[in-house]
Amino acid sequence: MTPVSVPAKSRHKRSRRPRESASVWVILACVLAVLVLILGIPVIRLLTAALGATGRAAMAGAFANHGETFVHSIVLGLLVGVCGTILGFVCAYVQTFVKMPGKKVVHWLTLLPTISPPFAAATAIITLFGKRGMVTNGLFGMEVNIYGLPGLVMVLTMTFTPVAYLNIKGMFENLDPATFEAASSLGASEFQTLVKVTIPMVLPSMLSSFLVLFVEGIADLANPLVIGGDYRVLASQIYFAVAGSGDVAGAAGVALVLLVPALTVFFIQKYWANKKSVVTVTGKPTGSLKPVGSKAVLIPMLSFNFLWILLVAMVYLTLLVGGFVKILGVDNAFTWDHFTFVRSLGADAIGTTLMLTLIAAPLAALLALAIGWLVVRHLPRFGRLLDLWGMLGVAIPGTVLGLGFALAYSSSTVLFDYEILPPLAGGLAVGGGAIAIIMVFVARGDPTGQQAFISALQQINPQVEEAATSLGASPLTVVRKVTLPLMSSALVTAITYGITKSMTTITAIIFITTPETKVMTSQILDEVDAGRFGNAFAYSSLLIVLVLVVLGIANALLRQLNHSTRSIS
Amino acid sequence: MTSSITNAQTDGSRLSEGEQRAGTLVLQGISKVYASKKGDFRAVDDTNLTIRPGIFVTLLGPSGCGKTTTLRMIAGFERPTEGDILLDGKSILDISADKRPMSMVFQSYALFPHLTVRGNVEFGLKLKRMGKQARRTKVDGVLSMMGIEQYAERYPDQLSGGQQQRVALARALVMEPKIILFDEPLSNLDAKLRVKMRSEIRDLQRRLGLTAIFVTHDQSEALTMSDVIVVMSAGKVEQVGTPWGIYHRPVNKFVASFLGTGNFIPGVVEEVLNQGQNDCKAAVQYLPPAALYRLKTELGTMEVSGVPGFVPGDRIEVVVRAENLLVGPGSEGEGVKIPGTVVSSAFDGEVVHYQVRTQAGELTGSAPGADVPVPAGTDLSCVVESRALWAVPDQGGSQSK
Ligand SMILES: Nc1ncnc2c1ncn2[C@@H]1O[C@H](COP(=O)(O)OP(=O)(O)O)[C@@H](O)[C@H]1O
Ligand SMILES: [Mg+2]
Repeated sequence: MTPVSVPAKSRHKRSRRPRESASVWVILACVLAVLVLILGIPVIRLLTAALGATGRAAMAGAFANHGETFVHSIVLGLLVGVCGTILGFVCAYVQTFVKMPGKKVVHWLTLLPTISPPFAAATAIITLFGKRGMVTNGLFGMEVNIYGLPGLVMVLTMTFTPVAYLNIKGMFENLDPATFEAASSLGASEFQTLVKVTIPMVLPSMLSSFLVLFVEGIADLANPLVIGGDYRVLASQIYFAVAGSGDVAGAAGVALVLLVPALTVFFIQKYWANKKSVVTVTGKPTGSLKPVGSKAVLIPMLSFNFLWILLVAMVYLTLLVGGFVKILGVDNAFTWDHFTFVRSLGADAIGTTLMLTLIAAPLAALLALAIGWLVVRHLPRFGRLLDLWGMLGVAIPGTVLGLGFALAYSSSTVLFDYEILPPLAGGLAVGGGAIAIIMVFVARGDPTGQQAFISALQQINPQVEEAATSLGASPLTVVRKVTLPLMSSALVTAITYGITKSMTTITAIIFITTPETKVMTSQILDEVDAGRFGNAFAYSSLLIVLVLVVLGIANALLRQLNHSTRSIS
Repeated sequence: MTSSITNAQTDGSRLSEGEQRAGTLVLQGISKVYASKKGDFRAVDDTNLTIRPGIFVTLLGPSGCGKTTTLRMIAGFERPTEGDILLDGKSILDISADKRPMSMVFQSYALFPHLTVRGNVEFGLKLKRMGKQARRTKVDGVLSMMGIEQYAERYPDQLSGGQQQRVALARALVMEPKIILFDEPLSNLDAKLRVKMRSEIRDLQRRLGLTAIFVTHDQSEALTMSDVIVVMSAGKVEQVGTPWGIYHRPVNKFVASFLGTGNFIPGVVEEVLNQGQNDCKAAVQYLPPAALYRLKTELGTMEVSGVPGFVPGDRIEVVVRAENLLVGPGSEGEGVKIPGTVVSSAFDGEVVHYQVRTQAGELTGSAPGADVPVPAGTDLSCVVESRALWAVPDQGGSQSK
């Protein structure tokens, strides 16, 4: 075809890439700046320190004694991964396939560990199952040493089972119920269905849960400090290097040893295991799941689940009661002493924690939203990199990230001999180190929200947004008036995670808390360290209640904001 | 004799004569290339088109031929890889979608699920900062024009498909766009409603004097609604013309087979009886010129009009539409009589469809629905109405390159 009217020049003019409007570039610039600050400079500082002479020596030290510390960490990660995934599967199975009274209570009990400070459970477990434990010693007269690997596995499993539980439960809910009907119409018994259909179908999400739990297991610091005993892991070695001998460069070396397996497994999980999904993609699943009735399935599942819930309930009951009695298990007389003490000790910390949280959680959600929006709608290629960068906030073990912050922001940031940032971390910094803590909270709170926004955005028909554009809405107006109202549940997820992470985190800020900026979790850890469990119990209960209150208010506010929001049809 | 001449030359003439009114949209050699691992894929390939204001243009073609991509480039959701889009002679490539004077109606309707019908319709007006009172009046006007005023406070998921469709239309119309774009807007409706909405949309477009660009793969939608049809295939424009012109004077086998049910009977040109004129008037009406040939075919030697430009000896194919192959004893029309044997029949109310075996192979024919269907195996005579025959190049579209 040779169109006569069209000059050859204009026909072959190659157009540039689709032009993004200015607001996209402005937002991208802001996001990049924030990411550089929270996940760029600290990581680079950490790497430079780790690869220096001292760091390299310490790295070798991590492999001393036939790599004992390293192996300890890996073993711990594996055990937590296996136990947590199995328990998560059982809990999710019972929630999805079993009809029983009190199911909702079981659900909330399973989730309880997510909103409590990480070492609260450890403290309670020591009280229950330790040398003088109320159960082991009081009930059975045994002398068990809970410190070390057994205690660690128990408490970390309890802490992270909810992650596997939610992941696997989500997978179950997306399965097409017709699959199970098909299996039974082909003659499979309920037990055979479980083994041959159900488990294989959720295997991908079990695998990905395992990997996530592995990372969490090797990254955790607070629990090894409380209940680790002589079982030295990489995370605690980092801590002792800094806290004991002030050897920050050495700590960085060890941190790198921890960082490599954590990042490797994390990205295997994100980009490989998660892809292998068998969830129905065509059409909406129809019908609903039929409850399983076979005894061969129900008895093992229910008893396993029951034992687990019993353990969780005991731990949190201990926490609750322990705050109101002199010394739980030894002197069970009622007292207000612990709460009185917490009130005087925590007067500042409660306010500070709340303030830091209220600043950090919305910022984290905003960052998550901006990244999600850029990734899904505007920068499909570069966006992947952005997504990955943001995910580093959880992929990097908290201890390591915290160390990076301490390294990066304890002194002023200098670029070409110009001071571009004053010190942000430490007692002498601007705001008494609060800025660095907020930055850590944002880094840790962002990834979950980011994932939620990305998947919510991918589910919104882009035509709905284009319709708004076609009616004259600029890109920002589209987000404000159409996209955001349609993503209210992702927004709730983002804010909820931002709040819980900020209020309960300790690992990531352990190196940057200062006497000027008191944080509740670090004060609780001090009480545990000093052996004042009663105070720690009272303080932990208070923190849990506070988290619930803040979450409640935030949810109510969000619902108010979006009161006209309706489900996407 | 090809589509490019038809539309490009007419473009040229119209541009140079400067006779276009305000609101003329010109696609100037636009292409859209999607890069993929297996190399570049040209979803739209060098498309030229002039769309005069106030007309109803339909982009028609099989699924995947690039209709939606073309429409989205016009709307501003995609940027052409090559070429330019002009509105009133000025390039609009650098104008973002929200600033272009066009509204789009989507196949999925794309209603805002979190807003009521009123909220949906006034969305664009609010962005224009129109006053509350004026907005209300205007929205009410459009809603009652569309007959959906009683649903104003409902949410989209409380409406039937047809009602949602009307809301989508109202939302686009209320903006008073110069150009309104439709991407298969009727494909989610049931058959009856679809036919009803066709005439409603067409009436509205005429009444409001809008330019409409309508995308569909449904030939009867295109034929009944359009002033101009653009037939596309594999990213290229095959033919631009009026519904009548496209149907009765297809430029190639692709166009002929995409519209209607056709039989293709091979033949050879014996003599050119009339070259056919390429007069400007016909071009403006998008009516392709017709030449007259004497052809030798398996049905015998006959005089048939066809695409101009063949010379004696050229191989051609004669398009015989099913409605022009009359089957049965009652068929006494003007034309070539041939014997045939019924292979199968299907009664469809208005007509009876037949498969008949003839000297030219198995052909699709028809008879009026009032005739009692003839059982398979019956020998009978058929009439090929020679007035309605049309000759196209032998290989579909090969001569147009
Ligand atoms: N974003 C895209 N990336 C790659 N190929 C695309 C994209 N959008 C459309 N295509 C391809 O371009 C061709 C034309 O698509 P489209 O314009 O939607 O066709 P139609 O609307 O005529 O059915 C199709 O083959 C389609 O697969
Ligand atoms: Mg399409």
